Amino acid sequence: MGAVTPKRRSESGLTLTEVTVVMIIGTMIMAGLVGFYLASQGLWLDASTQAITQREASLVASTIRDKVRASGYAESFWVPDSLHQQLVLYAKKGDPPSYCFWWDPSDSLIHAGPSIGAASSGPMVSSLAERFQVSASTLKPAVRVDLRLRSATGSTVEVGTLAVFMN
Amino acid sequence: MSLNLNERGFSLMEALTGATISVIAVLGLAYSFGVGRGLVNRYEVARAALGEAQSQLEALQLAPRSDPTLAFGYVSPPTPFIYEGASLGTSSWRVLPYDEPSLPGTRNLKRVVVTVRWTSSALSDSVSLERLWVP
Repeated sequence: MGAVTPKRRSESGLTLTEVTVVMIIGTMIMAGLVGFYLASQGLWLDASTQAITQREASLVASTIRDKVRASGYAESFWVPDSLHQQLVLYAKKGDPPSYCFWWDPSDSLIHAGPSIGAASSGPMVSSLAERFQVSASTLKPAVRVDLRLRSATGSTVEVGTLAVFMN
Repeated sequence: MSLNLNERGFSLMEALTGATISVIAVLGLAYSFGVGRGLVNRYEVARAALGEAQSQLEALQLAPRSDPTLAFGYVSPPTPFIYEGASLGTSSWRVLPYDEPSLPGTRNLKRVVVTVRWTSSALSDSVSLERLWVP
């Protein structure tokens, strides 16, 4: 029976201290990576949702501008509160309404359609509207619209536009 | 017993070099996210400025064609450009002659240029919008 030779250093495995140190370092690195990933994802999500809301605000403004230009008369109503109004456009004063824009309190979205609540009408964009104020003066042949949309992550975007009747 | 080269693992220098490259890559990625967020904020103001210029052009349509503020060479005094309650810059317009070759004369159209200038995050920016009008 031969004598048992002592193990070489490379065959002795890891000590508890070495494993602990490696685990601590690995945990710190993983925590840093996860934190960085979550922060980056939050930043990207916030930026992209705000960019979407900005585009939607521009879309609402340009759509209202186009519709007002094709009209000759407008009326606005405070519905349901002082921050939100309905805009009703007419080809000429006395004609039936040609197009409408309004804020629906059931979904907080801006809707548009040939008449308020019509089956063919629906929300224009998916961003919630905190403010939708319309100023349709009988003295000035123009409509002023100010709106504030809120993105999915909570940031707000304001847009104001003025459109002149051209019909 | 000797070990082959591919069984020796990483040296300290190799590990440090790899870690440095990884850190630089991660920092570059983080920087690109920050720059992207900054651009979104910058173009938020730019969109508002474009809306201001469009509104100004629309408002000028309400003025009679003989109005002195629409005469050739007129430069309007700057008015404040306000966004989210803060004055970020100024808005003004100027009226220039425009020569449309298919029309008689050399000053046959008015070129109305509305310019909105603003400063946001120590960065100056501007947007101009113009429209040709029949005098």
